Amino acid sequence: MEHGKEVLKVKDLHVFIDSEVILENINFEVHEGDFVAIIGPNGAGKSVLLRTLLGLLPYKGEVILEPGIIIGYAPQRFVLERDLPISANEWLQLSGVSKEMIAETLKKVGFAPSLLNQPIGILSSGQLQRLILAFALLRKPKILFVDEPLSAVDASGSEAITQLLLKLSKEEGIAILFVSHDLNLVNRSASHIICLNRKQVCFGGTKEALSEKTLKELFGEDQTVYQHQHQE
Amino acid sequence: MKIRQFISISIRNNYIPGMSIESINILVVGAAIASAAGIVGAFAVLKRMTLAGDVLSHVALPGIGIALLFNFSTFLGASVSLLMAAVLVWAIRNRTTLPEETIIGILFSLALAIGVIITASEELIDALFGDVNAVSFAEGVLVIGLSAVIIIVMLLLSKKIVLSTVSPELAKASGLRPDILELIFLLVFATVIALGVRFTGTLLMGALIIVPAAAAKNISRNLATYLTLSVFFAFISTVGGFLFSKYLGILPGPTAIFISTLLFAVSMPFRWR
Repeated sequence: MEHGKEVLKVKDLHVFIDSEVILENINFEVHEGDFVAIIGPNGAGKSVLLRTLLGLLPYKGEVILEPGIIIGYAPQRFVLERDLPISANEWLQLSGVSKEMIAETLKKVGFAPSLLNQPIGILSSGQLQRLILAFALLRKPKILFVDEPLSAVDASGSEAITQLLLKLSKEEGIAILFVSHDLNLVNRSASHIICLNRKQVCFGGTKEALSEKTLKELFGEDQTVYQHQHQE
Repeated sequence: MKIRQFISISIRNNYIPGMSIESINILVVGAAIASAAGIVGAFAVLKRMTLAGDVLSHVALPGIGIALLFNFSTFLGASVSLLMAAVLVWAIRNRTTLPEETIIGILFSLALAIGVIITASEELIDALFGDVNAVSFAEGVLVIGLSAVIIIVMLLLSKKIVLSTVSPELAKASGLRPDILELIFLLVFATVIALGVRFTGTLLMGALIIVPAAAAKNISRNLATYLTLSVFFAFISTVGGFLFSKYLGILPGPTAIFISTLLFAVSMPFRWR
């Protein structure tokens, strides 16, 4: 993976949970502007890898982030009580950034300002996903970790969020690591792919190099990835 | 006319019917505790600690029993046992995979059993349901001061507690320590209970923290309203409970719980399916 400055280097990473090996011997680097998809079957350790990189899980090996780098994290849509008395505006203000920055970020992610006074528990899945993404972007991160960004979003929302993530990586040089089950999303947007297959990396490289054979090995059946070209 | 002069003339002339200066002191101190309980309760309900919060107050009983046995301050006894319980719950929760309700069910029932065994029977009803006839100047200053500190700490930590409650992972990724915030919150919670047990008793103080907040949550759509209403409901439950108890000659603690439960009942239609 090469272009731009290196922002993350992972060396001989091993992760254990309750003495069970979840990931072993993981090595890769991420550079500015890279759009890295982490794929693999259920239980392959995709979310574990992301959470380890964020420092949420203990590990052996090295995770070297560029010193002082600002990290953004958009977790999978969390389960909220419908009567949670926290408005979208109050949620964003938890980050401690200015109102101007909040307004600018909301515009970027396409979150309607009219929803700001709504309790976050009653937002639709798509709106909540955008809010989570907005929260991750508020502090202007240089590396963004996104867990299943489109898991609860409809087709049009999915397209909009994909375009937004692409724009962030291409125009603002943000390195993005995202976990996804959606191979079409991966094929359309990722510049690099990390395939996890029960503990180990089975593939790490540009998406063009990812063969159907590897996909079949990973997911156990024939995978169809639809090519999709956008008009300039 | 200066306010102080007006109050003293009002009391002397019995403008507040049936209220002695001692009663007014108790009322002011009770209102301070209620305000602290209201804000702590709001976060406890948000953290889904309804059951834990309710029964944590039972842990004050063995402390009170020991204090009565060895003749030292019951406030000190209650505080020590509550703070120890808070640390114990936190440690067990962080070091085992036991569900929280199991820890609470076993530990707090045990505390209640020990408390009932060691507390002399003539003191037991007061310890369980609270009764206070007078508050000394020093005690009043201590309670009001600690209540103010609790309110300030809660307001300063409010954003961090909300973030770590809604998404502990996001909080950790933002550099926060949800486990440490949890410990601080449990200690603050224990302190509020210690402040209030003389007034409401060990059985009901937890409920006075939880019920007004639960009522406030039913009708709030944002955090600012929720915190304000929670404090307001705790305040009127306590002050109303005290005034009614004076006029009706019943215990103030249970009366306050009755009023807060009434508020909860009134707020319930907002939650109809």
